[in-house]
Amino acid sequence: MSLRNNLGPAFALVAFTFLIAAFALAFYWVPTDADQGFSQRIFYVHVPLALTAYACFAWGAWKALRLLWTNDSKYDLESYTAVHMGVIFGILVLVTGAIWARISWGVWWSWGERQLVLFLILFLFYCAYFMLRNSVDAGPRQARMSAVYALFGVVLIPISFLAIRLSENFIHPVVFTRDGPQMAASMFFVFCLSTVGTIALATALYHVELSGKRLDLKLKQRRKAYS
Amino acid sequence: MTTDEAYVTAAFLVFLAVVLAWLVIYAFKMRRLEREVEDMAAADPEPGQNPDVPKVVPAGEADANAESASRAPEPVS
Repeated sequence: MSLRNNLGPAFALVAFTFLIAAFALAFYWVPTDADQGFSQRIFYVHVPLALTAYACFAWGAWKALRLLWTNDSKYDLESYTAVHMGVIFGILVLVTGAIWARISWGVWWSWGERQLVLFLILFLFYCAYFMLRNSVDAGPRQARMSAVYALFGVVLIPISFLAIRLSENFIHPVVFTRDGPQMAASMFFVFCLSTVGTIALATALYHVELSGKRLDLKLKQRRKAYS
Repeated sequence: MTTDEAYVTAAFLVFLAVVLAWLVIYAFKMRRLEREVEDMAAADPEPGQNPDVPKVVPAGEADANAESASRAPEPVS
């Protein structure tokens, strides 16, 4: 069996190990933040989730670009799966962010925060991707339209990411500045562990879902050929 | 458990719950695909599995089979 066929289980194993370690260390090892107290520990799940969602959308856009470049239909399914993963992780970012906002700021959501609003726009933009995709009959036209849409959305990623740095008055904390991460070494270590684990989890889910979608497509083609 | 601890635990549990929900949905999808494959296999069995359809055997292999069938069985010790 080749390594390519075992990518899903390998990433799942990495994700399981890293996430268990990261969450255990986040609860019992890292020092409590002087400013936010215990609630700062949501950082170890919320920020890696956000970075993973960005990575999924960027991966989907990259695959969309490959589709438009090569006209190879296999990239359509890969782009679609990546965007789907991005939306799942986007939901998690919004929910964990809302919980953190409630405990830190006393509100579930703040419309005044550009970072939050821009992430919501990015998330809704990719939610609309599914509406567009399902409104067109399956085929090369659907693949091309979806690819162009996924590619447009990627522009929002750097805007969403940089929004907090462009903002003048914000309450959303800035941890990564030009001087490096503004946290203790132990905190940064756990953050890295959690980020690697979350990205590995997304990759494992991506591979499983992609296999399922490919199988589904092959079955549909077979059924069409028989009927 | 303090309020802070409850909120942090809730955030971690949401993560776990969504991943588990994804697993459940995917398990159902895999079961559906498995059923479809079974249905297709039942509707169109592979050659040799359906008694009404004779199994297609390559010419060389067919000769060898006929030869071995005509040979007397070896004694069992």
